Amino acid sequence: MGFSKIIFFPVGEKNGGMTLLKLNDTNNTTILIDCSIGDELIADHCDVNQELRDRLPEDANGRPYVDAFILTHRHEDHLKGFSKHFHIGSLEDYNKDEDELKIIIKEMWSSHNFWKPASKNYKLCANAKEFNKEMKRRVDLYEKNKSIQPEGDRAIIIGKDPEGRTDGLENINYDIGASFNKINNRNISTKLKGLVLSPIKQQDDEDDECFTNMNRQSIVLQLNVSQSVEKNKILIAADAECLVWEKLWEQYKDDKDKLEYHILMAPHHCSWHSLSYDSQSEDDDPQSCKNAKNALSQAKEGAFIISQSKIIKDSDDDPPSQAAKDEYLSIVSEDQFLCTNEYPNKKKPEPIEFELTGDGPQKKSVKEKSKIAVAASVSAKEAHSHG
Amino acid sequence: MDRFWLEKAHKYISEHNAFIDVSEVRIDDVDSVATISATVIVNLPSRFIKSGITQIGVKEKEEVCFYFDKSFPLKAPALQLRDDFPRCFPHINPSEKKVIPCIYAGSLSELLQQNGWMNEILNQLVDWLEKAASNDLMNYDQGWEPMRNEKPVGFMQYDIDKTLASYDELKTSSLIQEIQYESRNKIIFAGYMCNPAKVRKAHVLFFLTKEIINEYVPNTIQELSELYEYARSIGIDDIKKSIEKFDLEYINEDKLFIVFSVRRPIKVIGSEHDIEFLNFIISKKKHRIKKGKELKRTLPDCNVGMLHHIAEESPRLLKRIAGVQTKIDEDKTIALVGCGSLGSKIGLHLARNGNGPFLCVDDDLFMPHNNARHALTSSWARKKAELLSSAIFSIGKIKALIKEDALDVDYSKSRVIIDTTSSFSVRNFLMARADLPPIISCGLYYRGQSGLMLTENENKTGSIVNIWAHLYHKTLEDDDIHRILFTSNLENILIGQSCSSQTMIVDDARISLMAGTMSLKAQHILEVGFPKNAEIIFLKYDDNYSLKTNVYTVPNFILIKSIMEKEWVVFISEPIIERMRNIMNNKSPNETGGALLGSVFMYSKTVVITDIIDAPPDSVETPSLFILGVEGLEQKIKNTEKRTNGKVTYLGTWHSHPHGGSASQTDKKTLRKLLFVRNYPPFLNLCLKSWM
Repeated sequence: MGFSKIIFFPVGEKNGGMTLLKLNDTNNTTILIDCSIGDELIADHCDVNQELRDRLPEDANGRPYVDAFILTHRHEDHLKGFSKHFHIGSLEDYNKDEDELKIIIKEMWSSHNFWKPASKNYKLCANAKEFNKEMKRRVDLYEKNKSIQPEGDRAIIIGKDPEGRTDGLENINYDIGASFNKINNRNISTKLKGLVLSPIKQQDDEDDECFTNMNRQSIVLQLNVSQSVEKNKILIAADAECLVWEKLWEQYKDDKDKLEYHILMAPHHCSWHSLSYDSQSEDDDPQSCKNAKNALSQAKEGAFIISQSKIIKDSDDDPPSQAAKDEYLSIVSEDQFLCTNEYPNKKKPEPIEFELTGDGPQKKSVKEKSKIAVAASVSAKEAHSHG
Repeated sequence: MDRFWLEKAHKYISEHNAFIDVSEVRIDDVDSVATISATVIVNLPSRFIKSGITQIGVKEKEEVCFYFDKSFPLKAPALQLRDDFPRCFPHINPSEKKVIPCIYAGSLSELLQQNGWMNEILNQLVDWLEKAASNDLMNYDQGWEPMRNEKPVGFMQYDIDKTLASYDELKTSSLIQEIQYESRNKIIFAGYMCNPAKVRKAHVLFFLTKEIINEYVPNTIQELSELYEYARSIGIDDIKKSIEKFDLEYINEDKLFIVFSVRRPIKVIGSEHDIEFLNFIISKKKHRIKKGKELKRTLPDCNVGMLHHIAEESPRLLKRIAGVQTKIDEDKTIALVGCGSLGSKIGLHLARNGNGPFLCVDDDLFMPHNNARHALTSSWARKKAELLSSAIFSIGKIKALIKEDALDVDYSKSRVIIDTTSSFSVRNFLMARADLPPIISCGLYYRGQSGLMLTENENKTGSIVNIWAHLYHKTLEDDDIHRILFTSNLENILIGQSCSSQTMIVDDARISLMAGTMSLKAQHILEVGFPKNAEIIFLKYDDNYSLKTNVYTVPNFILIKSIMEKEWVVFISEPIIERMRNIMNNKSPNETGGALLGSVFMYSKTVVITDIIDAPPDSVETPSLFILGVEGLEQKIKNTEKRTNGKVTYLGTWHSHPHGGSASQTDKKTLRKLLFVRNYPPFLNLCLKSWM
């Protein structure tokens, strides 16, 4: 049986996001949040494509799949490799003869922004266009038949569309603030409870440009994964910026458990601007926004903060920002702050894997690989059973 | 000690990301054991990170010790945790003092030989400690880890399946049974394993838990009071009363065996049940056994030991070990007709898979030369059937009846006959009887280079007589089968059944190769039933030490009733009828016909039609008359007979009556004209009518 697991993958030279949640419910529900699969090894060492595929289940026809793919927002670093590695279109057109089989997405999650066409002020990368097209195909199927689509055609829309296009789609639509317990149209409430925290609505003093910014539109989720009586709380912060956190604190300061976490994915690859309105380079004494930081400080005992980012350098680079890291180190201890590209060391990063136990998340140590053969690493993923 | 490898091991431990504070390699004075100690950084679940120790007592830094002996790296180092490491986990090797984690389901030394070398062991150790930290060592995929027993005091043999069945049948959660035991060098042997000359009698009390017990605890029971306490913890409350009552009843018995059948949430490792059997022996204190009023005293606290369970040899055990789907508890026997070198091997293969009961049929004596190839050995002349029967019984208490004369056995209580005699008389006997269960016939040919396995189908529309006729017919085209059946004028160069076969020189291994394959097929049939169509399996040994196997399907045969001759039975294969029907339809409204080919089996008075020869060119075909010509016919028939040693022969003629009606005077004349080949009965004149 084993525990549920969450895996944070190392990212390329331009940051990125890819997180895999493998639940230990009867169906072993598998959820991928964003994808970032480049053609190069990370730090000439980690083959994230292989690392991901080693952990994916296969369906009865031997095809790798995820039950749900949740796209937090439409930036290239969260969609890298999407067209290359995932099957797009009807499953009837699946090609079984490819050298590397495409990954099937049984249910696709996206904000309503998939309807928004690219424009001069709203540029979409090629993968985002492909993603939107696939999302539209799936939503159209629902609209046509008014019933939940078969696996491979399913879609979930986050947030109400301002132009009313989500009207009539309530069965496949979660509004902001709503909780959910279905993945791939299966109720797994005894295992998972999710809460949609953002994209929050446009604020009174917020201009359109700011509001429609892709990072601003990030889906932020709190995932509660049950194991016996314990709930492992994971805060998927995506690339949400300071304003979002500030407002979330205002909204939930009397309902803090909605922001609580055992594992926080530091927003926007540990960027300073998720914590502050001040500029590191232009302001004399840049300060973090108190309320934004409050929102990100609801750590449970022994909590971890993960920076899914490049190596954090003490420089003006941002993200990741050393100043942001320093802020997080006031929330958790140094051992509990992990950067994907620095774990277990900067030279040979490996995916960070947690087991979600009945006593909270337990980080798994990294398996040392064979020193004889480089390629032998592939088979070293699963521990042997104990006698 | 080999410093080179020790230094390598040291390097691996030092460089592993989870190990710190690695000591130098310390070698003892006599140069026999090297030690490396180190600290493992154990990732704890978040709740325990602050305190640095889990609820059960696993620390964030755990000391481990590696002990290398001279055989390293062929043998893995022994691992040891601190002495006060919590022992309440599964997957700790039994040891009274040291805590030795069992980090791998197989041999650690084998693991060390894998690509990762020491890293394989180090990774497993770290994983083990992390699982201990999250109390997740019970691997539900693997199964329930049986209760660890640090100080086993002996072995107890009984049949778990029977015990479970008894709980069920009697609708009870406690059972009482008598058991025999022997105490040899302070080790208890209970059940059938003990020396019959030294057995003593005792009783066993079985208790089944009501609830599923999901908590793993290693055995710490050493005294009766602790046994009572454990029983209470698994919901067996009334045990004290039962034991004391029983003790009085059998006051003269020194021992009392207690078995707890504990329901678990999953199957126990290595078992097909989710009920774990925990076996204890109470050594009753002797000072109590006095007279009179002493009987009223309660049983004082006394020593309790835990015993390993040994499965009773049984078909179920055999089936499980073999990993087959043998049908257990069958009433009808598997008749092994022929218990020679081939029959004994097939019989034992099937018995070892848990099949049974058997009927061993052979009248032959086991002679010294039989030791060359028989599956069994004997230094004295026993009947082969008897020898095989007792071997089958000792394999798994499987019943095997003995009969001598294959021709005088009641086969009605058999579900299959496996004939390995390759005796013509046995074959003829089997062919002549339509009432027998389905037959599998096995034989080796051509100095053991080839083998044939003939399998009837369930409803016997491809019976052994049909199969042989089909096989003879196949020799017309198949050179391999032709060679093995007709290389000499006789076809009895078979082996393995009688004195007459002594000249057949073949070694045991080659017979085993054939017998192994034949047994696989027989096992398959016993599991899923006989094939839809009868089959011929042709086995051929090649020079590359391998066996090539061809499976041929035998068509179904239809029984034809004769108008004139009641004694004889005629079969015709379905494809031949189909061919005749096509010819008739093509020639209609004219009559047509041809010559019939096939085999005659004298003893069973059976004729099997397997082929036809088309009407020769000088035949006459009109709507009211068919005259079979003779041009080329005689030569064709002679060629066929020559090639098949006469096994495929001219049987007579057939012709069509597209408008119905029976044989005419003309037909009969033709028949006489064609007697040039066949001058003895039977002789066929087959009339195919339009409604056939």
